[in-house]
Amino acid sequence: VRIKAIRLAWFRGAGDPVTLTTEGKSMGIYGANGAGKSTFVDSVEYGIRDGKINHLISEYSGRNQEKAVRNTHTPANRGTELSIAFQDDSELNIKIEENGSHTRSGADGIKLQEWDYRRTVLRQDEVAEFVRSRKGEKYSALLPLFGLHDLEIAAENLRQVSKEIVRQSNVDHNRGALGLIEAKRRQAFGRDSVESIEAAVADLHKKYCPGTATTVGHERCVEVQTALHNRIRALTSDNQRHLALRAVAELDVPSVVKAIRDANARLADSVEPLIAEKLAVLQSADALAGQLETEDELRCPACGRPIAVNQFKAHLNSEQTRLSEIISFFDGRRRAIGTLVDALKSLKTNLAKTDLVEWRTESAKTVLKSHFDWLEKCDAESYRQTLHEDDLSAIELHAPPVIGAADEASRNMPPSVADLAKDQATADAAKTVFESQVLAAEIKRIEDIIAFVTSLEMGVRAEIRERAHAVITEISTEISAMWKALHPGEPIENVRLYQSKDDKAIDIALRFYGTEQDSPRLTLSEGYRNSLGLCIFLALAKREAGTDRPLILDDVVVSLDRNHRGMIVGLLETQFTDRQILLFTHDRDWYAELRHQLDPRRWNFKSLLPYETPELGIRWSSRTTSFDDARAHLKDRPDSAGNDARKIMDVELALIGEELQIKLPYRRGERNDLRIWSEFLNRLRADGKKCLQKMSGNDFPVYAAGLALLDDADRLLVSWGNRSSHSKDVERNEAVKLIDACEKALSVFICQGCKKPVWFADAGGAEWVQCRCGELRWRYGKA
Amino acid sequence: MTIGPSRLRIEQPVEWIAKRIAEAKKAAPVSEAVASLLEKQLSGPLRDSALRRSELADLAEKLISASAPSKSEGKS
Repeated sequence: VRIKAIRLAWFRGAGDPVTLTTEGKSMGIYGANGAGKSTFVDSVEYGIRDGKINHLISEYSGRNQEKAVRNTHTPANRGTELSIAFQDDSELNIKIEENGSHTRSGADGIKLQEWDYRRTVLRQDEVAEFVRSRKGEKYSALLPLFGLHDLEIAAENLRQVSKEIVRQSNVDHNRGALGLIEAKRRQAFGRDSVESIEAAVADLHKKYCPGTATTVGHERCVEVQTALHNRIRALTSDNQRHLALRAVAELDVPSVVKAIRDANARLADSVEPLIAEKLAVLQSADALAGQLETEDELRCPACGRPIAVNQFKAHLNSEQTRLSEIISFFDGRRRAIGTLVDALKSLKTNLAKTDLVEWRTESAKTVLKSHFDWLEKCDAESYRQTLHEDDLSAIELHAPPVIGAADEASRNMPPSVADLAKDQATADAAKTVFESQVLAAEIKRIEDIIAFVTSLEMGVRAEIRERAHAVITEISTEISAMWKALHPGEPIENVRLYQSKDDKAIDIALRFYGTEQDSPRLTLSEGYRNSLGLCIFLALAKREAGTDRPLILDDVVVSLDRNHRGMIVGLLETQFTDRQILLFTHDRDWYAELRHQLDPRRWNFKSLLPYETPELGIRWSSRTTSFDDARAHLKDRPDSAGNDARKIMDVELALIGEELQIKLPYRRGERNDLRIWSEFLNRLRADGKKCLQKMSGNDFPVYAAGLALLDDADRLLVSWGNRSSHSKDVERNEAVKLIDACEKALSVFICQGCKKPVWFADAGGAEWVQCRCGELRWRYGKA
Repeated sequence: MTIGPSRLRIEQPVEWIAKRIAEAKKAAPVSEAVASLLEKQLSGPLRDSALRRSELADLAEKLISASAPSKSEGKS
């Protein structure tokens, strides 16, 4: 995908329509600060983000950024529009209304909104963003490149399935029920094993069901219960009353009430601070993420206490254990309440038996009457929902006297009847134990599924980690290679991404003068961080799914020195040959270098006029050089204009000298790199007398007119150029003449016919270079 | 300067699912029906999009049902 043109009207800094035409080539675009370079970048971001430009988000820009997106001086009869034309001849047109709402049409096949902005555009203030960002943010930025979104979805789906199985199977409730049964079992059989219980049941079975061949424990219990029931029915009414009273006397209400009170006390101790901590969670969770990166200490989001970052994990584990304990207190309380409700219901059932009518009538004549009345009205089942201390006090007041009286009354029970009661209790308890085994197996089955699904979720997450690691390793290779290309032979090396122990965290490591560093923030200067940010952006851009999409770099070399800026050109030329690059810069010297170094078959260059007013908007210069910057000063500061012209000549003539291989005497040290225009121009004038030729008919005479222009420039630069720099004493007209002369001098080396420089092509031998049409030529080495 | 291949396509062979299923089996013994059901789900629907509540309920029900011992197992 290549951008053919970007056309803007009253968008951001643009006034009447202004078009950046690329012809599908890469572009180097120069503009002084504020000239409007970023407006073109903004327009692409607006298209990608469907009407949003991130750096404009603020409380002042309006709901739809209408205060920032539209030119502040848009005339009433003009509309804000932008269009981006692509190489397939499709065109995206966006119309922005006064209220900032917009409509878009066209270029559906390009799917601009699916482009990843972070891998398409890099701006000056975003260069070090990745380096600066937190580990989790780095992971998020890289996530789309991993191609693992479907696995992330799968892992989350598995987690939800686990929760749904828990909900549907009622496993938590079943665990509670099993806990109750376990409590009863301990009460009846102590620590006896199931085998011992089976043996006890076998004995009872032998005693009450002789001659039957049943072997399964549960069925034996049923048979024993039936046999006992028959025997009890055959007892005298006195003995049946004894048995009923015994059943009442066996109930242990006080210890259950105590168990509930204990659980309440434990919960009271735990829950109150828990609520306070929950508030702290809400307050501190927000700040946690930021602190993890920069602080030695943070406030725990679970309990709110300050804690060292390196102890945080252990602290979290202990907090989780504590919360689990509190949950177990709740479970224990629920079980105890269940036991109490069962006991009360059993008490009421037994008291209602006809065997006890007489005993109850007699007892009701005593102090027990109020207790019977209370028990009669008591709705035991309701205690499962709410059970307050008042209820417990009432239960404690009314139930034990009745149970105590039953115990007292059942003491005269004959031993044979007592045995029956004891055996009946054993059979009942054993039967419950055997039934609980089925429940336990059911719980185990569900727990196994949950464990399996959870393990599978962990497996998918491990798969994500492994694959991410492979991708990270490859990206690291790219970053490292790019870093090496930008910083050859420098002692900062082995730059790479690495995954932290946390699943979703990535950081950058490097070796600094032989010492391994876990973060570039520890040692790298701002310039180096920016350089690293650029390497990372380019490495990620290379991996982007749509690798033929344009790359837009907006003033990204600001903090790099000249040497490293030069290296970037090489990197773009070798690594992104097939990509369209839109390179915006306000660095005049670098722009001049780009024009000379980048392949003109793939690159075009344009320069913006300095910005004057919102009404005039963004305007292109008709020149590729940057003399318009100098002209911008003519009105108010002609000395600055002259000075700018001189500085432009310093760079432009040096680059021309390099292209034409002129020879200058070596100077020791830095002075060799700090040559000025005069040295290059003098040498070009001298060499030009023999080397610079312009076609005339069939001949190639020396290009005398061109040499005269060089002489003019030299004369004016000596007088007015130097005065501009040193005494500041230059008139406007003088500066105009100086700039014109400089521009004309540089144009000597550009063919007026084909518009290509004299070094554009070889001219049939190693010694000659020429423009494209061959009208202008230069001979190497014949000075 | 040499820089590695720029386009790494991530292969997602089904073998990785079988491998993760085998690992999960070691962690928790479940019936072949449960493992098979999840293997199929992981090859498709589970990775397509976040499941809706009704889909979650349906899958959970199928898994619980698939893990139930068969009648012949119960009798034995």
